[in-house]
This record gives sequence, structure tokens and C-alpha cells, in this order.
Amino acid sequence: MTAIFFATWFAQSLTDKTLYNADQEEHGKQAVSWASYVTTSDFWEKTLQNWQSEFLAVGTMAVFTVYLRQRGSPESKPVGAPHNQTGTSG
Amino acid sequence: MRFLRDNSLSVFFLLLLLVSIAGQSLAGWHEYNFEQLAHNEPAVSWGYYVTSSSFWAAVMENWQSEFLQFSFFIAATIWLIQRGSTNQSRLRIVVLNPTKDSRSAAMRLRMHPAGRVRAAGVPLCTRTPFSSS
Repeated sequence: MTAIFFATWFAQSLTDKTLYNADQEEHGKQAVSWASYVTTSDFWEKTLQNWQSEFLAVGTMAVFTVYLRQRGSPESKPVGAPHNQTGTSG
Repeated sequence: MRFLRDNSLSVFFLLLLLVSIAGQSLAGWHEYNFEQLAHNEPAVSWGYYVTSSSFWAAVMENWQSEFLQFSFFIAATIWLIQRGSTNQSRLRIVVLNPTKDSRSAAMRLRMHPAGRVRAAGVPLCTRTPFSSS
């Protein structure tokens, strides 16, 4: 998963660099290299925009699974299980 | 300290969320101002940017898709199965014809979940993807 993450993040940097340079050209500005693109606020805004929502999602999932139930779903504790019951793993 | 130990997972993700949303707002603010200057418009303050629809449209765009994703996942795992995955309903073995063979048939079904186990053409037990909870 970590390898796929780095591969797709790299792919994002390539495709977004192309978009960024098309925009630069349109405004009569110099195209940038990959190395300087990955230090731009354009790249980090897009990246952090995605990351923050992933952290939000996993964090709320962790908290919501304490209090909420969905009958039949393995993502949920059994309906009627107490809030303080913690799952085990491994 | 006890609070942190008991809630470290949510606190960890809350911190990551706050750091990354702060990072997004800073990078987005710079980007917004580059755009403003390129169009001969005045630069805006960070406070203005984080209350602008530009920032919140980007945030909401991401949030709605996360909640959609989890809602679908929670509901889909009620009915759908991925053999070998932890994210699936516990398979319930239903004994249709309780005989002395049905216990071993249920065990065979657990190991080779082909759907139904028959003995002499009579279905002994079946399995359903619904959890018993």
C-alpha cells in the first residue's frame, strides 16, 4: 500500500506539473521543472487538501464506531454492544 | 495522561487533520494570492482566504466524498463478501437439516465455502453473508 501511495503521489506530481506548466505558458510565464513544481504551493495545496480529508475520515470512523451501530455490517460492533467495548485484532 | 492513552487513535488523527488543514490553508492562500496578482487584483489576508468560498469549496469537496465512501463501505459490507478480507460479514452457517452429519458438514463448509453442503442430495446447511448481530 505504501509503495502504491508513493507511486500515485509521484504520478499526481507529474500530471499536475503538466497542468501547472500549461497554465504558466498561458500567462506568458516560464515553465517549471518537476523539482521546483513539488515545492510550489499549488502542489502542496492539492496534496494537503486530500490528506486532511483522509485523516478526518479515519478519525471520525474511529470515534463513530464507539457510539454508532449498523446492523449486519462488519464495520460496526454488534447492535446492543456497550460503547466501552473495544475490538481486538491481529 | 489516561485520556491520551485511552483515546490516542482519535487524538492522533485529529492532530494530523489540524496540521494538514492548516497546511492546505497556507498553501491555498499563497496560490490564491498568486492568482490574484496575476489578474492584477489585490492580495488577500489569510483570514480572508480561510473564510472564502474558494477554501471551503475545496474542503467540502473532499469531505463529502469521504463520507460517501465510508457510508457505502459500511452498507456494502453487509451484503458483499471478499473472501480472505477482514472487512466482511461473519459468515453464518445455517443448518437446514439437523442430522448427526450437520456439524461436520458445517465445518467442511467453513473450510470450503462453496455455498451449500449436501449429503446424498439433501442440503444439510448453507451459509449467508449476514452477520448474526
